[in-house]
Amino acid sequence: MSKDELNQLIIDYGKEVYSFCCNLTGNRPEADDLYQDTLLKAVELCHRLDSSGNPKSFLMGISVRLWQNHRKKYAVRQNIVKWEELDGELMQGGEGSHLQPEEEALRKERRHLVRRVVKGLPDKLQLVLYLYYTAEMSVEDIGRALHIPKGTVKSRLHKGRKLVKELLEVQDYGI
Amino acid sequence: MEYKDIDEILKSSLSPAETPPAELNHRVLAKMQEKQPRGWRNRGRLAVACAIICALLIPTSIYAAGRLLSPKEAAFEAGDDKLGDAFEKTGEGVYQTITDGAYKATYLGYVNGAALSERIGSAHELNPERTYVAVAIERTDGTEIQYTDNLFVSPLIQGLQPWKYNIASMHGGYVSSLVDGVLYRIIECDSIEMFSNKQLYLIVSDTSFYSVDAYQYDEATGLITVNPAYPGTNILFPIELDPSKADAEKAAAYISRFEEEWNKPAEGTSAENTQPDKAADGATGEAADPIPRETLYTDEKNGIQISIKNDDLNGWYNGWWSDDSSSGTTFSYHFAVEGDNVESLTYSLNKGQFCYWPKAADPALRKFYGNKYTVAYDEQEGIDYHYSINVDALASDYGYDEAYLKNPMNQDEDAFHQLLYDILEKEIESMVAKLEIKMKDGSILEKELSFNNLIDEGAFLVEISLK
Repeated sequence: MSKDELNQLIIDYGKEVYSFCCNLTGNRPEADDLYQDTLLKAVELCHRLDSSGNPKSFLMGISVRLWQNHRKKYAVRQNIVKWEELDGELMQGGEGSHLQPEEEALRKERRHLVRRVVKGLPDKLQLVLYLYYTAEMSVEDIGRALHIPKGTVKSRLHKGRKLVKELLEVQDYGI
Repeated sequence: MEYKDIDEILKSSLSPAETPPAELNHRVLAKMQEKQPRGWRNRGRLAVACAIICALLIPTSIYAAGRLLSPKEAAFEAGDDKLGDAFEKTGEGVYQTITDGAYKATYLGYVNGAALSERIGSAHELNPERTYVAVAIERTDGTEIQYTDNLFVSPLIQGLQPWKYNIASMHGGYVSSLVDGVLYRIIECDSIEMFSNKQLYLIVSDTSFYSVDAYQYDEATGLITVNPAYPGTNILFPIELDPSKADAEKAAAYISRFEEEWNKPAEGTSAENTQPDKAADGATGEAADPIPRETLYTDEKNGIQISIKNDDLNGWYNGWWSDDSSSGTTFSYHFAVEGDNVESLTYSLNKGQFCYWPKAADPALRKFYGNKYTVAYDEQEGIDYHYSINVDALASDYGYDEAYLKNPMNQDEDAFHQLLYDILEKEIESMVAKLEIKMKDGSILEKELSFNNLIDEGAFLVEISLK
């Protein structure tokens, strides 16, 4: 893979991969590491990237595998940099820039709460939610990336949504 | 709160919003350039170097292959990063190609040592020192090679009968991957490094097992050559290991152990009798040993050997693939029979059916062959012989409530998986594979195999053992 090809990969998928890494790790230093490791691994496996036909799924699959393989390393870092402390500076984008200050504050509060709730879910549910909502992958692609049946992806999505809903209600999110 | 709402909330809260800092991207690009010289560029130089050396030393049909994966990459492809690293650190790249008949094979490289792979098994405990050889195989007619192509890849050793000492008997196995129409196969077996003062070979043939028609063995010199009269593909590469690693004492001990194992009288003449302790295991509730990579059952009276091979492709799936409530698995075990007086073979199953299970691990790609098939003995190698056994169990057949099963989304996922898995176990335990061996004198020998499912509840793995 040439430098230009990697650059194109970053332009095409960098934002989704990085956002996914941020959600998965919950802190910026680890997100940076995971993002870097993901792209370098993709360079190493570029022959497979070409034939995968779906570069985004391929990159997310690498991220997940690296994450699962290096959980201990991440866990150590997690103790140093708390996710909550960084939440305020992560994920500031989205639809809110045109909103009034009060609405913007509400939106941020909601994002913060939802992200905390998702982060509290079992790993396997978190992973599917991030792949679906952050990486914007199809159920089929998630199944391939995680090596689980499509039905299991659906089931985890369903369960994840249900739990998030219940937890938000418990916290008087009040919709 | 409606589900539609929670979907919107999750979408807006988790959507990709963070752009990687430019500094981080620059760092990635810089690191990529640091890594490149040791990887791709080197491979190009190695390929060129090999091309020159090969052109000088070996026939023109052998040449360097620059566009193929390296052994390290082939190992990564097979999901064995550890082995990939071993190929890179201590392995040797070879890159020799020979074209013969329908196939072009490239000997990519090898590595020797213990604990080099992520894949472990009983063979690794018996002989921790292993030899791994990476090979790339393509079809010469330009069509894409398939996993189903009948190919035998094995190392051979000068002075040791090749029909006896080959990958099948030396506790061997392989992993394969298909990339851009090229089949990459990494074979492994007991280490041959101790024999490195002898001529070592790597063969690739279009047969299921070692074929005495494809290769010639000179009893006097111990040398092995291709049979030029063989009409198919019979490729032979020299394997050149470091002669200083030869160890005559170790080699003699290995041969002694091998011969002892080879000549050991069969514990029985049928599958049922070969594992006499299994009934006791079952009675005490202890799990039986899984079928090893290759187990031979010998019927000495009739001169028959039955092999059961495990290709490590067993996979459990549940009915959510097809939106019904079934539970299934495909065992990638297949049977092979050898015997001079055998005329034909008929395999049948009381449950499930034979199928081909591609290594892409996608159940949708399976091909089914029904629950019975007959093959003439001589045609065993000429058919798509890579059969697996597929079992499907319907939950409703085991008395589970239809209403509950029809609405799995509302159930606890783990509990539902467990239920389906339990059903599968019952199905497997009532499955019997029957083999009818028709002899040339018209007599028919029958062998029956029944199975246990060894459950790893955590991972929902399927591993079968003979009952």
